[in-house]
Amino acid sequence: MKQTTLWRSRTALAALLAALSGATGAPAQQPGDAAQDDRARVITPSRAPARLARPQTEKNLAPIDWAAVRETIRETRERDQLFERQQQSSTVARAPSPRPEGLRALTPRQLGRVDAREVAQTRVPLLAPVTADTVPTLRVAARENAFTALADLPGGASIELLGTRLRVVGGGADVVKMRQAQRRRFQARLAGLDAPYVISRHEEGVDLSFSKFGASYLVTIYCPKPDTDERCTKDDFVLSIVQNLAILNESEGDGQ
Amino acid sequence: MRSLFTLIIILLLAAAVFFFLKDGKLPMPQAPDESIEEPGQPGEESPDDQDEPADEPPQPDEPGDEPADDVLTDANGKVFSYFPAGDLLNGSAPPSILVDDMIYDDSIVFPAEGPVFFNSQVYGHGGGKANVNGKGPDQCNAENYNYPWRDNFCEKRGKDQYFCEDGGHTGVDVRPATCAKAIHWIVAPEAGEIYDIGSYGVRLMSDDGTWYQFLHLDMNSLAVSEGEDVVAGQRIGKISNVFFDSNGDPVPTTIHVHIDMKEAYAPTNGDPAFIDRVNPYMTFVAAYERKLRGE
Repeated sequence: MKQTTLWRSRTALAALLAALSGATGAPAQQPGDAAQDDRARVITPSRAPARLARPQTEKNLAPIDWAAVRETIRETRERDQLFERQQQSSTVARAPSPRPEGLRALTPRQLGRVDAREVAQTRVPLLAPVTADTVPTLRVAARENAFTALADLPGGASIELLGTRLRVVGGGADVVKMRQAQRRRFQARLAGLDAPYVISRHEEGVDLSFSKFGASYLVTIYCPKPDTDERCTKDDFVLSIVQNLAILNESEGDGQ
Repeated sequence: MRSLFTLIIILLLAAAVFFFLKDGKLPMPQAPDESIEEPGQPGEESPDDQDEPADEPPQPDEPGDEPADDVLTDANGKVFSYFPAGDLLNGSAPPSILVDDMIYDDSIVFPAEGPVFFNSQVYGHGGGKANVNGKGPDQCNAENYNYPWRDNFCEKRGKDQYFCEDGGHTGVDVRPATCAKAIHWIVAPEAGEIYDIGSYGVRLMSDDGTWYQFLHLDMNSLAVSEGEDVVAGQRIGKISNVFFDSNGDPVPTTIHVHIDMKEAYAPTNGDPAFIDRVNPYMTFVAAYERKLRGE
């Protein structure tokens, strides 16, 4: 009997304390020590510059291997010639085969909306996605060391290809170590370009990043419905684009 | 009988504590006025969902502390502080994350004119997953408009990146100085070209080979046009809440700007560089510090 009364007292007190906690707006699920831990991690910078305490990086220019550009174009041309001979010599009727992967040279004049003056500004091998879908809307913005090529795709999607020979190098030892560990996963290589690449997905679509000729490139497919549009959910579409790019400033490497 | 007497005493004590906490004024620092003067923008329309902050903001300093002389304060007198890179809000981080605390460029202009607040739009007050941390439905809650900043790059959005598997948020979300849309300007962090203007955002390629994207802007008051060259610090547009669902229908998001930054990175000069959507958090922290120092 005595125990029951005591239990009731404790229960009443617990209920009262719980009510008190709610009345004062105290978070029911957030223990005080967690908030304390949170506060301990907050950094309050001082007025004095603290740059020396932070890992340093540098941004520099990567050398471009124009000989490799010419070699890749030559190899593609040879594959194309062989492919055409095979197509012509075939006497058996069959469905048309897709052309071989590779890098083909075009001039801005062959692409209606591309401004030749923009193309002439850049010292980076200017690669562009050239397909029946992209040619009508393909345009280029360029700087000496970077460019952007972009085009619309059917169904409200779009494609963007970024390229640069500028790169940030270095940083904190931990970041460098982790980044190098990540790079070991870039085992796959692009057919036609023989370049390592990596594919990532995000809220807007899919990215394919690759490195070739000393420059860095990023191809992004933006899909209005990135969760269901197969151009963004599967790798095939972006790979088919990247494995058949065109270079718009082949002559930039003349004499190099 | 003795137990009953004890219970009555406890109840009386508890009631006394209750009334003290409910009505008593604990010493809290007064939050500075959060509104800022926007030159040339008097009488701009405020959004329907603009509210005065509902609660007293949590302060990074102890109650009653005056800002020390050697700390950085913003235009409204608030002491700037931030959580380290990669220290995401509880429950919002994916299982695997690259803590990227790099300052990719320590010379950019901070890309907003007024004070801003980096924190989660999804897991904070007013976000779709606010309940994960017991947050409320009001995006204008004062906690969203206060320091410390909180990194939200790589925040869990159900996508897959090699640098944060099952992440998805490849930029940072930034709230303006006040919970009001189409008032607060973002500016170009570097000189470059506005190479694309979409349905709710703007893309900039810098002369220095960095790409920025600014989303959820007020598209009716953009200060730039496609193909335009801009200088560092030039106004681009005003932070808003413009967004569209997958059917192309307008669906307002919280009032914020999403900024992402693409950069070619190589660990060493001997490694090939790859363009990534890098975490701009510490680059912006450093730029904000320079701004607050008046550099």
